[in-house]
Amino acid sequence: MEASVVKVENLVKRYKDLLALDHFSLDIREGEIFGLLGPNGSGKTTTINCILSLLTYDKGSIQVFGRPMKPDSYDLKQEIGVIQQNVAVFDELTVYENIYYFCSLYIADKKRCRVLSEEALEFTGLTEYRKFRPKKLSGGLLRRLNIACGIAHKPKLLFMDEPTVAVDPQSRNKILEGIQELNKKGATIVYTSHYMEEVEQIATRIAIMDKGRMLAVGTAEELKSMIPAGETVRIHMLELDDRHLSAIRGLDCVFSADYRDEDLIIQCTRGRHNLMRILEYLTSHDLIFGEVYSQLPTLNDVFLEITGKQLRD
Amino acid sequence: MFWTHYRLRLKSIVVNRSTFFWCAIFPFILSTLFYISFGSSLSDKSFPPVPAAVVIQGEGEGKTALLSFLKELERQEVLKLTVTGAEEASALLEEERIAGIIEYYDALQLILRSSGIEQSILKSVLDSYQRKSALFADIARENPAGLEAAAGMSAAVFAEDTTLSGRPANSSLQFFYALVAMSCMYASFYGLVMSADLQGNLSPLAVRRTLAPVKRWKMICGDYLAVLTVAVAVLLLLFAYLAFGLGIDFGSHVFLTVFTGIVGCMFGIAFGILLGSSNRQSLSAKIGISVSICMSCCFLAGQMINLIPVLIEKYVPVINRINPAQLIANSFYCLAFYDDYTRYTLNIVTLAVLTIAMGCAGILLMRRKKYASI
Repeated sequence: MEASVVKVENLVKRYKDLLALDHFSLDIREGEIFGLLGPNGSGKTTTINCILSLLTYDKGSIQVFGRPMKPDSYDLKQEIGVIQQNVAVFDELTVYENIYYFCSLYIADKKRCRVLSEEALEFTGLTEYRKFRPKKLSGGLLRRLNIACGIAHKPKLLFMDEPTVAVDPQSRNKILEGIQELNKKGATIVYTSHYMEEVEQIATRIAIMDKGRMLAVGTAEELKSMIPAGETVRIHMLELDDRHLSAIRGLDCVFSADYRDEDLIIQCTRGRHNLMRILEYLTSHDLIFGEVYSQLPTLNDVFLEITGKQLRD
Repeated sequence: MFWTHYRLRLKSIVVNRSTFFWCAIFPFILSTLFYISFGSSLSDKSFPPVPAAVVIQGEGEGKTALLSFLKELERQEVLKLTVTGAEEASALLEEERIAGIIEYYDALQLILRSSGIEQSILKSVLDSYQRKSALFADIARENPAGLEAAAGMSAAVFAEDTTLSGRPANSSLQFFYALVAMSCMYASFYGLVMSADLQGNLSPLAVRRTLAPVKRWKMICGDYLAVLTVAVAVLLLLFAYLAFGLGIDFGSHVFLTVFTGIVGCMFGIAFGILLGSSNRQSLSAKIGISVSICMSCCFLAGQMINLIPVLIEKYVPVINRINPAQLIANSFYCLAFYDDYTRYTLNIVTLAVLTIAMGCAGILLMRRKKYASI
């Protein structure tokens, strides 16, 4: 088993009457991309701020690289990179100067600092914008600059707090690819988001949280196995009588079925070849149908199963 | 690391358009406008003499002493006298060709038709004379030959008194000194930016900097040195523009004048740090508060109406003793016109104490290592 990089135990954080973190525990291991998934206000950013010693907390303990994290733990901070939700750069400095400045806070050697800044520029695809001021960059490029400032010193542990908010799809893909590349180079990454597709795409392990509590943790597959239903099948049909609908509901591969707005929606059980068996029934009874869609369970279904509400409610 | 930090912070502060305008451009524009407004009066070292009529009837020691006293003030161009009869004096006053009539029959009397600066000066002249009339009487009785010299000496002291009491030798200079004081106090904007960029609960940028493995005091020192450098550079340029470009007289104490400006800038920055770190208002709201406070202090220091400090000195002198803008402006005044450093030293020490108190309070607030909420 890989060594624990971040260990949070029974963390409690209150903002006056609001319980932001309710006995929250977490164990992040070396080499992981750990996704922290939850709706807005669920406590993701508070968790990260507590881990980084930016916030005081009421109870619990936090260890980073096996040692307690404090505001003056400079040796630990040296190994940590943070990419915040909000872009945090100097508007008055150029792209290169910003990267160099933040790198220089971690790296004393000027030559090495220059080399690392150039690498960060290249890694984030900002080389041609090196002399631009942040205000001249698009939203996506600005996010990339934000990332470059956080990774230039090559941290072993990287916190990324919703780094793709308000970013166009092209830049988002570039950012996600970059995160995976950083992970391959050895960085442990803690990635928070309320975009389940993103987390599912890159995270090796995922924790789902809501109202300051940890609801479930595991790989995407492990989490999905927590729900009893399999894929959802939607078949466009102009008509379907109740007799056939009842018969479909009776199939052993069907968990539930419903017909509305000229669509037959079937929630399958966790068997194999479910779609084929449903289509066999329709063709064998000369039922006419149009487009067929099949969707595997998502993390949103897991969240719905656990909390009774959508992830983006 | 420190010098990289210093260099890039220096650049980020200089390039910040908003603070650059208020701190580095606005004082130059305002001083140019002042110069256009007051242009010709700047070359004068004093107010024009106050025209007054003197009506004296009868003979005696009192008349001689009063005339000697007034003649000396006329020689010093404080007064412009017309010795005449009562009727003609009344006519001159009616035609507003004189500010007032100094009448002496059995007792001294001042006749005025309106109020204003000239009338105030006449009143001060006679108040001063009446305070010293007993002395003149003694001299006239015991040494009549020395009466004229005593009156002259007393008039000279009076001329100095009018300056010491707050009325400038050149009232226009008061505006420029208060303007430099304003420029010093506007360094508070740098302090505000500094606190916003350093305190984790004020901006995402400060959060990122807080997370770096750099000791807090190093970061604060780097930022402070950078903002002080910019503030002092702007101040030196302003001094150069005022002194060489507009011909404003700052006296011959160049080192002490610059030193006063530097202490003023330090006060401005310390005030900005305290204001910035003491609450969580937005930066623009804090700049608004800072502008209001700075302008109020400068108003009280006579930037808009030069008699304000005189009135404050008369009715609530404690305000003049703690108003930073007045302390700075008055220090320039002391250096330009007096050789007595007592008052200058008192001003600078008070300003330094205020700076240290505000700076320490601000930095203590800024150095908090943990935040209850961000």
